[in-house]
Amino acid sequence: MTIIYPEATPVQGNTKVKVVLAIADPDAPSLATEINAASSLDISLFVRDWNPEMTSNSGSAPARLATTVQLPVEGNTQFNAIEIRYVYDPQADDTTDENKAKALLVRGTEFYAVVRKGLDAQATAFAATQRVEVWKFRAGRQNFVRSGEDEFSEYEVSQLLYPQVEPVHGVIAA
Amino acid sequence: MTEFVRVREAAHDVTVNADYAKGLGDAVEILDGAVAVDHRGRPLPPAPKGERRAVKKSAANPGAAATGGSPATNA
Repeated sequence: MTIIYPEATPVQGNTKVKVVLAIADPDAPSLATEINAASSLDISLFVRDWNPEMTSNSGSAPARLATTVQLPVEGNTQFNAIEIRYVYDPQADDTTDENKAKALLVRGTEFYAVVRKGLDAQATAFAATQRVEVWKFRAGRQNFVRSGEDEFSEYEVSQLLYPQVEPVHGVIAA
Repeated sequence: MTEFVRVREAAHDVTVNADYAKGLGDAVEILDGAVAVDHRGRPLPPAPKGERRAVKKSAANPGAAATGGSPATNA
């Protein structure tokens, strides 16, 4: 008997997120004309974290008089708004590199987030045939806060992103 | 209120914050024509074919404010 002991993929440094304004086919986002479009922005080094939460309900149908066993039934899946927090420069114009995320993600903007997991986010560029998750969001209000209470805190934007459709698992096309 | 503009990409025209578009410099072409927004300042979805929708005056495109147009959110 063969025993399979799969190797786990660490998360640290291995999530890359790019904001893309338009994608024709989320199952196969185009590397050349969509992911690498001039208006697209890699926010991997702007945001603190990327951790969408979703839960699937489970329950069981009402019992009948003679029921002796109730089995679980799958219910709805609930997607929550995703909170992101990212850095900005309070004294810089929105046309600067430091404020690109703040400028791009203004309230009301609709965009796609192309999320690649499992490859070094800084060292490995997006490439054709890589597997990605593609989300579509509407950006919520930008709240200008600080990252913490201590002397190490930084100014940052806190914002909710509202999923518009279910995310899809796609493969980057050339 | 946030000003949105239409920007021409290789494959699509997209709606984006005017300041962000300006920050991209010559990498993108900002199209003429203001973008319609709702009462919260959000860009409106595309108007159905044949329908013309009033547009808000845009600082980025002041000359095009009275022309109507075909505003769109990102496809």
